Amino acid sequence: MTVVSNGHAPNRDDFEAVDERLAAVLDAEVSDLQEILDDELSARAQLQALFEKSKTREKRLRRAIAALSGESAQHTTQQDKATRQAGMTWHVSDEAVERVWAGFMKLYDQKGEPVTQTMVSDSMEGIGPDTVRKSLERLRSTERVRLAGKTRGGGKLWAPMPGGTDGA
Amino acid sequence: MAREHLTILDLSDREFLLIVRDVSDGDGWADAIDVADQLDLTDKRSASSRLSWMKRYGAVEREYERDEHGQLRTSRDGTPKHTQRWRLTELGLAMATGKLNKTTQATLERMDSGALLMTARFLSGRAAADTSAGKLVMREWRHGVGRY
Repeated sequence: MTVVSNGHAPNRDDFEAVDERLAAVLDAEVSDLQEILDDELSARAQLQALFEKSKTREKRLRRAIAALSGESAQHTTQQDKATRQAGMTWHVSDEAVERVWAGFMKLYDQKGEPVTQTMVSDSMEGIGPDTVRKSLERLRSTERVRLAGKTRGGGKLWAPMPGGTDGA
Repeated sequence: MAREHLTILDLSDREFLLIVRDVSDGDGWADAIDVADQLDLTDKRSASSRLSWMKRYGAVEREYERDEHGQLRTSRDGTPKHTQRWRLTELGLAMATGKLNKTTQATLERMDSGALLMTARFLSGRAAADTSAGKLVMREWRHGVGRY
């Protein structure tokens, strides 16, 4: 005779095992989607870079047309001014980057922990916060500094990259 | 709640691994929550997710859960259980702290465009063939090209 039974009630380990497997599956799904999103953002950044290059070429062509045809270059000048005001085009000089690097390292050595852009800016005279910000981004792109965390307010914390003090 | 992004463009793998090292204990183990806190992430899963990817690429390992006798704890199907702590592997440490020697760097800096192209071809071939570091090489490239 066949005995029909519901079996034993699942114990706590069963639930934990299922939870863990479910968490692993969900984590893998989320990670896969995150990777696809990374690709999308990367592709968009590259398109954005192409877009900016195209705008620069357009500006040069307009200037050349204005110069050759003798037309007023006022339109172009106004556009340049607007772009300058938006802070889009200026680049920080190599000298400024080196000054910020020296100021950053001095401060970092004093503190012995990652520092914010504002702290670097406050510790230096005659150099603006925008210059410090752009210099730190330049130093990051050459792997002399690294993003080492964020403050509670979302400010970036900077630290030297291993080997960054060797110079780049 | 919207998921916070912690993409390769926001933070390079090298920067991420160095943060893991920064918040680690004396044995090199770092809790995912401490990594998330260091980055001021409200959604802690973003840090765990990135750590999971780093584990797949071989840059970090995850701590096994053990009982009071030091024996591995396993699920009923025999799979070892893990804690939420992670540690850099040898490959991860090399990625986080390694650097080119001066001779190699000088050689690369002197290259003309043609040589640079050939080097890129060589490196892409090496990366495709390298099952351990290959994916990390591709991601490093993507960070550099996408961000700067």
